[in-house]
Amino acid sequence: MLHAALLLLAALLCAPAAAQDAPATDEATDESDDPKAREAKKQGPQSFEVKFDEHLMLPSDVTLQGLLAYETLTFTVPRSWELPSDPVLELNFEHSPQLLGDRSSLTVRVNDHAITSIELNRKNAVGGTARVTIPRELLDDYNKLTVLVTQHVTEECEDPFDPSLWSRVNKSSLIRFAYNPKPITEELLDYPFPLYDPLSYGPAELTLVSADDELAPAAIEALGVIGLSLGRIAGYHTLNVREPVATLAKAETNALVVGTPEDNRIVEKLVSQRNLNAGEGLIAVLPHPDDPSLAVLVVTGKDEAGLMKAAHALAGHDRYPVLAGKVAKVRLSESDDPPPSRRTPKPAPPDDVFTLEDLGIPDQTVRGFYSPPIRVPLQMEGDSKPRLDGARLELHYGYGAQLDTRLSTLEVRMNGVVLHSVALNDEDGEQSAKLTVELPQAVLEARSEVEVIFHLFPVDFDPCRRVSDRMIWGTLFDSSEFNIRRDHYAMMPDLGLLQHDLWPFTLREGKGETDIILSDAPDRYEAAAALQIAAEMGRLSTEASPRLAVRTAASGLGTDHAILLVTDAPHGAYGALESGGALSLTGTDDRLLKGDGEGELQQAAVDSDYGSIEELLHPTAADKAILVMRGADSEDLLGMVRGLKDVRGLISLAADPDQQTNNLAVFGQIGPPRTLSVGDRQQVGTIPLASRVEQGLRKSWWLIGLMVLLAALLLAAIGRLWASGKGGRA
Amino acid sequence: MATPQVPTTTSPLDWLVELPQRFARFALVGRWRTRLITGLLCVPLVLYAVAELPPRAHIALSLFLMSAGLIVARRFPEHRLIVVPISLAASTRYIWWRGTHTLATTNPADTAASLLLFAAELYAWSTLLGGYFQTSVEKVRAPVPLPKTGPLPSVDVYIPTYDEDPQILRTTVEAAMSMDYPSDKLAIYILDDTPKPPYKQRPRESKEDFSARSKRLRDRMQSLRALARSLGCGYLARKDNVDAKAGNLNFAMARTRGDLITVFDTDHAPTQSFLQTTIGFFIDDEEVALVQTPHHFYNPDPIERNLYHEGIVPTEGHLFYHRIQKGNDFWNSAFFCGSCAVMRRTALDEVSGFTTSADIHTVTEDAHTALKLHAAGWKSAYMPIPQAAGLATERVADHVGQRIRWARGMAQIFAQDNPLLKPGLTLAQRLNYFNAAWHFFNGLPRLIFLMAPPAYLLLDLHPLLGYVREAMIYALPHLFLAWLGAALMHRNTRHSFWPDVYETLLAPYTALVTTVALFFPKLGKFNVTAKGALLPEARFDWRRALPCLILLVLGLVSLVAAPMKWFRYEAHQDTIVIATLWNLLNLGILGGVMGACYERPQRRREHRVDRRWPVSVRAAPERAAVEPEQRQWQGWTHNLSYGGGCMEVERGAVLPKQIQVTLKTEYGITLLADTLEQTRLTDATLVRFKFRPLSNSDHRVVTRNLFSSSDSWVHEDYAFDHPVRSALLVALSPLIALLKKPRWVQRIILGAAEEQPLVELEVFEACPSCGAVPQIAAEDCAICEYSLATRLTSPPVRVPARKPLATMLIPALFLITALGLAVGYKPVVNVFEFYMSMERWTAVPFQTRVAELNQAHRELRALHRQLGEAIAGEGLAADDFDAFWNDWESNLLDVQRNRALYGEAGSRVETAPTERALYAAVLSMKAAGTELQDIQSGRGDRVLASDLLLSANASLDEAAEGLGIPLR
Repeated sequence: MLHAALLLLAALLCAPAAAQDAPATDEATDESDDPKAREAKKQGPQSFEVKFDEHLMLPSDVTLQGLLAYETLTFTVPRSWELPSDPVLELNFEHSPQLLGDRSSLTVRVNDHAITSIELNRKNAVGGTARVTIPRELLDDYNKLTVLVTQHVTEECEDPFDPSLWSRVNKSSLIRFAYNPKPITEELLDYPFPLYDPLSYGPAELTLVSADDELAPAAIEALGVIGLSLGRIAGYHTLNVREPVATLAKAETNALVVGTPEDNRIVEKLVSQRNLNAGEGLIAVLPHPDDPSLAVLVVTGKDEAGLMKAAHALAGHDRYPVLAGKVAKVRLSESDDPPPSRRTPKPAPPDDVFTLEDLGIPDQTVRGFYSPPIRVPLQMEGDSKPRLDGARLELHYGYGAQLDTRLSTLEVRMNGVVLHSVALNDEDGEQSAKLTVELPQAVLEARSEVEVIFHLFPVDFDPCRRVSDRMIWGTLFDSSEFNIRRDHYAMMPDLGLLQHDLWPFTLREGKGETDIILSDAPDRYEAAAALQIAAEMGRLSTEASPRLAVRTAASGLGTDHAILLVTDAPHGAYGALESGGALSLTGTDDRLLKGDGEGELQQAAVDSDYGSIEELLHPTAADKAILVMRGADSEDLLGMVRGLKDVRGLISLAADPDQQTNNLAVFGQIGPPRTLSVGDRQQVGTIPLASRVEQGLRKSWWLIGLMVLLAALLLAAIGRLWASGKGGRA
Repeated sequence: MATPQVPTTTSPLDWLVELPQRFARFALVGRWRTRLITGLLCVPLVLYAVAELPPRAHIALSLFLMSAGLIVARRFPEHRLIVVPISLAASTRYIWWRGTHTLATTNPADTAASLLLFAAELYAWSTLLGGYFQTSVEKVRAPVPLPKTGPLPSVDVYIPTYDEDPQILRTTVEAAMSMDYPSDKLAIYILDDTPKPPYKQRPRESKEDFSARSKRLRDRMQSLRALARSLGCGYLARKDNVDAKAGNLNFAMARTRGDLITVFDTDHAPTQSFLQTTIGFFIDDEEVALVQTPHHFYNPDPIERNLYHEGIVPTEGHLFYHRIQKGNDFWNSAFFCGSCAVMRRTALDEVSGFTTSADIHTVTEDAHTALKLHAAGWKSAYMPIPQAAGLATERVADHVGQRIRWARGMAQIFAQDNPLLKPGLTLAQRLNYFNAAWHFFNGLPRLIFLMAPPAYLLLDLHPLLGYVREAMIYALPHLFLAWLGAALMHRNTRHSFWPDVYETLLAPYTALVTTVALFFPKLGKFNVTAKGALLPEARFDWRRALPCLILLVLGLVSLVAAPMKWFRYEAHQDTIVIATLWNLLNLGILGGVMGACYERPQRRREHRVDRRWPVSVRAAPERAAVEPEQRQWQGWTHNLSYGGGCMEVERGAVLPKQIQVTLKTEYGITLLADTLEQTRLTDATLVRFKFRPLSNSDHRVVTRNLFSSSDSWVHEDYAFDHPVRSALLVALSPLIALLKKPRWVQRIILGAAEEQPLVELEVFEACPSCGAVPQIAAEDCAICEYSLATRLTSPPVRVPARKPLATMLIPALFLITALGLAVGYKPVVNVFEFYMSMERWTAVPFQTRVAELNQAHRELRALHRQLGEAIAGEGLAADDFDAFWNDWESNLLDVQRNRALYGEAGSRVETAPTERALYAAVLSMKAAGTELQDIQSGRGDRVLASDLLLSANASLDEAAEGLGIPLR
């Protein structure tokens, strides 16, 4: 259970990065436009390697210490796979050469069935590999893989802390699957499957199919609704929007067809609209004509209203399953909230006080001599500034009764800095103890990680007596409470703040709405980009009722946060910003993308044109921001948008050795983006008087002395005069 | 006529004083403006109190403010109020820091100790606040003259008596009857409350004793009745003793009709001007219900008597009557102190008379009566010129008993009729009454302060979590400024450390009594304070001293334990030094208490009163036959009592055994006496003599002489506090008591006594018709009759003189240091860097580093154990050893690298000893490891390796102690 939770945590932390680096499946890596290759795939079983580091989110090798130690990993078998043969586990390991072969072993269990046991002897001490076949019949959707080692270096009583007692499972280990793709089930009741399979590895892949170059505004709006809901459902798996195509034949992943028959000619080919009345929508899940293992989702309507009804019905389907069968007609459907956020751990809520439960982190128990740290990611708003001495963490924890209170400790770290260490000697500790830890302002950041480490030692430890690590355990309860008083203000524009869940564009409780504004006549690439952003916003947003509007520039800039997707195509909103002088870099495309030889731009010039991201403050709404994502063409734009969800990419926007905030990033085809700061920055949000005073005084503390003296002088004078007026004397 | 010396401001900095004055005038226009401006001015103080600053800033600010306080104290003492806000801010800062950063929660014992100490400090802080409130401003009233025309109110004088010596009562009645007031308006009553039969035999009282006591009490009633008849005053006695003194007074109230009621305790003899100086307040303001005058005692209290500092060190009572009551009076909350006060009958009637059990159960009915009057909206006035004198307790036991009663009574009021909640009082009255009651709860906090150092030094309790050097930089400004503020507010009415002696003696008793009274307020009876007790031989009052003796022994044992601890716990040496200094301070005070408990003999039945009067002496009449040519000697008295006195006559005089002494005073009298001792001095002969038994009329004249002069008691004044001398005196107290004030100590004491007031008392010319009456100016010189125009002027506030500029060196040094720190001047910063890290809040926090070192210690212990096993073992195969060695060595390096164990280099100063110890352990383990390698290859020395291991173990133990890890 613990390892599963840890895996989940690790997955959440690393998901975007891993997802970006790793291909989703072998299909993704192997696929090509060559129809022969696709045909070849259909011939025989395909293979896929579930790599421990990439797919099971194992960031580093697992070290197993002590006399008896184990590690459990969870792997899945995707729903669309049919296994023609048993998968093979290829376990790479090494261990201490001092281990006695006849007394030390490594056992592999799958779903609690031991499938092999290997002697840990001198021969396999370095570079050992175990190839084990995993019987298919043991496998289920979710499977538990346990690696258990028994380690001995002597024939007699042993110290479990002996550093010689170690084995290491390499993260390069893998499980090799051979599989045949199953044909999809044409059943809408299963939605989001087959569009998204929670058992699959890597992100869900989706291709937007539109026969027409330009998409109608209604289709764009529907994409926003669908994207947001899909982003929510995919959660940490994320959703990758592939390059859009004009025909289904070119779609190499699951496909999405959105639009009315008038706007998207493919719709007419796929589903009949004859029975549809005005205002009615239709949703269909169909097999890909060339690859029955891929699905095509069609969202359409008799007219624009029907289309929107269909989109909303799809978005609400996880809670109100009204769709069934291959094709479903939608008569009544109203705009409703998208699916609830599945994001976990959640970002910190806006309240000062919140618990681990509020962060979506359940009780965590660790066991054994070398228990791993319990990690608590803390993600606050991009503009949050913890107040001095205003942050505390009250840990609620418990531990086993068999601990040596003299040696066992609880250690709390934040961002790698040890904050507190306390002996586990509380009388109530076996039930529930509390520890309040100050979170120093200097260490606490908007994106932080707290590590709670139990160093556990059994009481009256005797090497000759068997000590089960079941006896020594520590639990961190989900009632543990953060109390972080924070102010909200930031100097804007600052691209670096995007790393905090696309702050300030993420949809957060009470923080307004965001518009995604496309060009006046968006093409399918722009639409795919909008879909990608909508999915990302859905994934990141924890608000119950996020409102995200995807629209064309025809209706102007609006008064909400806005993300402008800009290409060379006419763009009303962008044009207005340009002409109004709101953009820091106005002028011709040449100036921005080609470089005109001026100082700053010269430095920012890139080898080949690609695009730029610029953030600016809304010209009319003071606390709103606009993100202009501009591509040399719409293909580049999509590429940039896909990069936007890469956390590391976002951090690179902020990565400035001088800690300067930047509001412009220029992308080239090669190399990292170049960032620079152009134009003026403004403070968004208000600094409370108390914080303002605090900051002022921290800089000019000597003023306090003068003020105290002055106040004392004046108070004394007032006191004297007042007392004498009352017939007294001071 | 001497003119008062009002300090004049001549410093070039005086213009600074003018600016605040102008601002104050601006601020005081309109109530809301005043409140707003005052509130705003408090903001910086609050900021300073709660702001978390790096040490450099903190130390610089502290030095700056301490320097400002010292400059005010030494150069502008008349502006002492400036120090109050500064001191309050510094103390609040300390308390805030203690409350938010230092409360230990490591284990139940430490937690309890920590909370107790913090509660005690919180109490001290609250009394500091209350003290400033009560003493920062004061009202010093002059007597209001009686009207020259118009009717005067009638006055009933009550002298309640219980079982005191009738001779003491006689003096009081005689003095009361000598008060100048129209006889038809004055009625004096002895309120005889002699215990009434049936008497109960006390435990362990023999039958004989019981019957003797019963007879004495019966006789006492008879004698008092006879006394009243002989003196011509009223006599009232009731059938029971219900409600003690308050019941007695209420009984009399129901049977007399005077407009005003004056109460004197049995031993309080008033001056003749008592009514003239107090009645005017009632005529002047009809809302005045109470006029209280100071209680003056013409004999020393047992502590000043036993420690030989009568007239040198102000007593507790002096502080109360000459500073606190004046402050109370400003806020219209001067208390009734049970005696020497005048009260309006109508007001008393309105509040149902003096407090009895019908109101609440309290043994300090006086304070509660005043509380009722104030709550009913009546005013009080405090006339600060002593107009009566009484007897202080003679024995430590009586003193303790009296204070226990006060403490119990005030705690009872606190519990049953808390002034903070009582309707009808103003906020200031609430605070003042609260302070009065709250003060008596000092016993428990004081015991905690006394026990804190032994608790740490002996029991290893840690009542303060944190780093002692950091604690000192918070505590020192707080203590220094609080001391400075108190010294400035109390001026010459309190000397440093002496209140600690008084309170420490009482602490064990008041702690118990107040705690009990708080929860069981109805327990406890009124006990009458015994006066006029005799003590034939010097003795140590073991019973009263026992609790403090135990504390003293604990302190001494701690003192012995401290050096051992100092050598053993290198990492805690700072804490041990501070705890020892604190312990030494406690021991000094406890020593003072021990000295105070060594009682001097009290053989004189009558207390001598210092009086310097002209006398003429000649042989007694019976010597006339022997010496027909009677010679007459002139001289001056030194002191006098009803029993005798001491005088000096011309040099070389040899007085006969029987003499007659003529006092050449306002009430001149000639009395027969016998000389006891004649001592030749360089310029005079000192004669001690004993009067022959006095007739009633002589007794009355002597009473008038001794007690009736209006200025009898106005001369009491003390030098300003000299903290070093005070500390020395307290520290030497046991010696002074044991050696009976040896000469070398006397020099110190006399040194203190010689310090003359820098501002003379205002002295008025003597009335030509009735002799010298300093302090009293009789407009029509009719004071000897019923003068209605007596004007007695309060002495002006005494302000210490400005100190010479040379004394500004210390504040200047503080200021320069503060500036150096503020600008970051390296040489100055380095001085403090040696003491503690100046950038704590920007680097790794102290706690964090300690946590890391804890981990390092744990890891090193594990590696040490492995190495020990390897050395003790039989040796491994070469391959096995290599594997072991690689792991072990890399682990050791990991620990050293990950935990940054490089000795003191780059470490925080406060963790340096621990870092050094851990680093030493690493080095020893490395050396031992190397030796193990050699052993493996057959060259090493197993003994040497073991020695190195032992050395590493010792270093680890040292580190463990530094980190507070218990060792097995």
